[in-house]
Amino acid sequence: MGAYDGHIGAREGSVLLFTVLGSMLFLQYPQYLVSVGGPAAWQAALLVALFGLVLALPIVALGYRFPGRGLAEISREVAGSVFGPLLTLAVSAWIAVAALVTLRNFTETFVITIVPDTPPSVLIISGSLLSVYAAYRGVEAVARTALALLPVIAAGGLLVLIFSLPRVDTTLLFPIWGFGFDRTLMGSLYYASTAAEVIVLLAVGHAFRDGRSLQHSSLRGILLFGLAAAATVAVLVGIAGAPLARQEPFPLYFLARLVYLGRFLQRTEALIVMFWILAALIRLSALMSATAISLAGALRLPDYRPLLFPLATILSALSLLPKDYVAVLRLDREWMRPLGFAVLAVPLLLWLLAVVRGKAAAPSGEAAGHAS
Amino acid sequence: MSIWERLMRWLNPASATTDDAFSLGRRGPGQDDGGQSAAMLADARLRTDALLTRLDRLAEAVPQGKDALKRVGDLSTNLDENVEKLKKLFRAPANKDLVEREILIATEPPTRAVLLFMEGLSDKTVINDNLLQPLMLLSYELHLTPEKGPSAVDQVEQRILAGHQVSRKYDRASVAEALLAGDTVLLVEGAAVALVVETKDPPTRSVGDPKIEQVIWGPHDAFNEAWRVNVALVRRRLKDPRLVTEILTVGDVSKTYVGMMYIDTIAPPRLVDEVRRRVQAVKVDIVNGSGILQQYIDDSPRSLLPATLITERPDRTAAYLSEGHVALFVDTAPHAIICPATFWSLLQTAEDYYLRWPFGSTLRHIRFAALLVSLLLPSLYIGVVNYHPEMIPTELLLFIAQSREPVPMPAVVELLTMEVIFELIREAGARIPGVIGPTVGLVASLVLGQAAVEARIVSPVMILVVAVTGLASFALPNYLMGWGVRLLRFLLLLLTTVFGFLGLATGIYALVVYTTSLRSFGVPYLAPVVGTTGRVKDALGTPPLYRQEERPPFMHPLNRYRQAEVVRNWDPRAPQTDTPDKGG
Repeated sequence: MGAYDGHIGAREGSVLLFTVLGSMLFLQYPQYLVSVGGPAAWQAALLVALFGLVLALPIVALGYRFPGRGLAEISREVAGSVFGPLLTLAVSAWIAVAALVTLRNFTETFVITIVPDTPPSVLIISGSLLSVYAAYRGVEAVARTALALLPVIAAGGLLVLIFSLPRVDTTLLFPIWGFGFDRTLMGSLYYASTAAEVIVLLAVGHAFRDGRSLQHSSLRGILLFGLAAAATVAVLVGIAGAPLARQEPFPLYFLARLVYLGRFLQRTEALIVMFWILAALIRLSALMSATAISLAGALRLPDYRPLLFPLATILSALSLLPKDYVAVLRLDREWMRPLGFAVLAVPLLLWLLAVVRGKAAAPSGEAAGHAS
Repeated sequence: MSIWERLMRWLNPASATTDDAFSLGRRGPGQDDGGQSAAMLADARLRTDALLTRLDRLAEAVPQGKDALKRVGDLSTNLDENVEKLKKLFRAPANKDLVEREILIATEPPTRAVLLFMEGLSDKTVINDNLLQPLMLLSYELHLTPEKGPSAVDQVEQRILAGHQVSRKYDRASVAEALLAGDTVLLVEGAAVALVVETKDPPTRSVGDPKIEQVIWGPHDAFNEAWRVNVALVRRRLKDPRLVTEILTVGDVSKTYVGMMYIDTIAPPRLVDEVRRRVQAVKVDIVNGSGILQQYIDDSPRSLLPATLITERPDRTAAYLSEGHVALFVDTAPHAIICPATFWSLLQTAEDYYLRWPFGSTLRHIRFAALLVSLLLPSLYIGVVNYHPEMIPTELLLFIAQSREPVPMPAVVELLTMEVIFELIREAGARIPGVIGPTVGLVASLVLGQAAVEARIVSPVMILVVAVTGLASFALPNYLMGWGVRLLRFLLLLLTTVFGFLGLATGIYALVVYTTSLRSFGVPYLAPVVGTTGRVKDALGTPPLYRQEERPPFMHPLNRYRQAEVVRNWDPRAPQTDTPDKGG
């Protein structure tokens, strides 16, 4: 990119990915895992993370082969000036749809749970404007915001889990492998594309100084997400039991409402949800940045910033298209997740092409000059 | 004035503004102030004359080599002409500050000379004892017989003048600069050169106590308005020949001295160059204090949070210099500007290091909590009371409802009213002179609070919220940061009032995004917590001093280590190492 965007370190990158993925825990993702694994949902969470790690390996390999380059530059160099930008456009379209689904999903969640009188358009416009602002300040700012807000967001999740522990019935976590090993394994494989958002890191790959930073960010981010998801669904199933947990549309909110530490600390879900809003905004900002940067790269624009506002306007308008919350969920579950595999296939394809065609970045100088 | 004219003036007030009434503005094309134009023309002529003279002499000196070029100026060999032009430059005799003393130096034959200095800026004892006496009396004993002109100047400089710093100036601008700095100028008949003797004695107060950054445990000296004194206070703490003081001048009219201090081989040269570049780029009439210069060199002058640190403590300045920072001392300002600064440095005090590390860390945690309370408490209160009363325990909720019942205003109006009153008390307390300021503030807050509750304008809980918020804002050690937090508090309050916790969350998010994208001289504003690699040290907590082996990595200091890896090497329990001493 032409404008200065700064750099993302390994710590910031991993926290960014963790927040991008982890924010889904506040939505329906725990419900998906329970539907796959039942009492063994926590094992499904770990399996999903494991599969996600495997699927992210081509991204890591590309990061090492093309340090300091983003998806747009890599695809153009590897797949040529026609096919490369088309691949980038396809990926950016998926990220854009992920952004609009996120926007609508969080909006519906907040409206249903804590702000029933607020028009969804207010939430959508607020979220879009803030994500534009964050993306405008640069992907470095988004990653650093994720790191700075991590204690708050983690507290929002951890406090719920810790305060819910007294209600956990460990017998509800058995039998091991829940509905059966095969079903848990196959279900986990289906949801492995949950980690497809790791493509965001490749899209902003120019912000990583080297392949090692990208590797640490990708793998640590997915691993942290897997652990957080396992802990969340374990507590959820331990309290509600698999049948009830599978039907709960807002599992973590359900847990938050149960928090009661005497009469002094009660009904704190509104405060806790406030922390989740921060996670949602980080996810949205990261997706918006990645979409705009990929688009600008594919279209060979010198800067991505002019795209942000039009992009946000289009996404906000499109996010209102699904007629209801169920339509949003179906879009996410039946289209976005399966297409996530296709998105993750792009880095694999690029890596194979790079290996076959012997393409790699110049060993030094160019990447460093680009990044600075 | 005739009766008719008086009547007309009474009927038409506009006619009272006659052409002879005083006004600074012009009244039509014929009203140009001829005096002002003439003065500007004379000034321009003086400067042009000096410039042309210099150009002529430059052309003459070019064939004579480098030494001759250095001596090129616009001073004349005619003493009367020099004095006359300098007096013109200083607008004498209208300007009474320029003192002229014509003397005869007691050589054989006597040499005519003129001594010039500025009233009030120079030390008259030095002038009398070290200049006038040697020139007029003691030189007689030396039986000097110099030739007229340069030879006489050589003799005077080397054998008669007892000043500890004597320099030569060849042009009127340099002479004027020296005079305005408080030096005394000696012009000798027949020589196109001026001798400048150091006699500076500007009015200064003595070193006093810190006014804002007081400590209980630690030194109690603070900077004053003389930047040289401030530099000395720092140098007293850093007895290292690598400590460099560069002198820069800013302000076309104020010609303010700015001392730039750094430790060579520790401070990154790129930082030093950047600070120098920014200061030298300031092209304004007047720079009257560190707060003004700060606005010119800050990375984000529109930010509500300062990106440079202003301190009045020499010990703190010395500590920052030893970490690789650059300090700027603006003459007439009792502060140093530390470049760069991070967000966390604004929450730190010198005392954090003087106390044992657990106490220092606790103090920092308290201050951070104070920051959060000061920023968020009013918004949280409004969010809970207006949008989520279910969060409040039932008994407390009932009490709040009962106490708010007689108050006719919405909670946010109540809160804003109290906040504004609190700011009024704070401002009035700061402006009331002398020791009665704090007393008046205390009395006002007590009386007004009690009266407001009894008048049922505010509820007691609101008094508590505002008082705790105000107390927390006083716990913030940095004055500018305190201002920023106060304004941000109002912004967050506005957002919470309109959107509830959603507004508060979005406000916090925007604030964090903005803060993380800030930089101070290339250093991430939230470093070392965000934006750097490695372990986070010395930000929210104070690590033990013996564990602070390295300088802050975000400063990219040339010398990474500030102490040996094992400082307590006398302690058998301390880990021993074979690595050589890396300190310094």
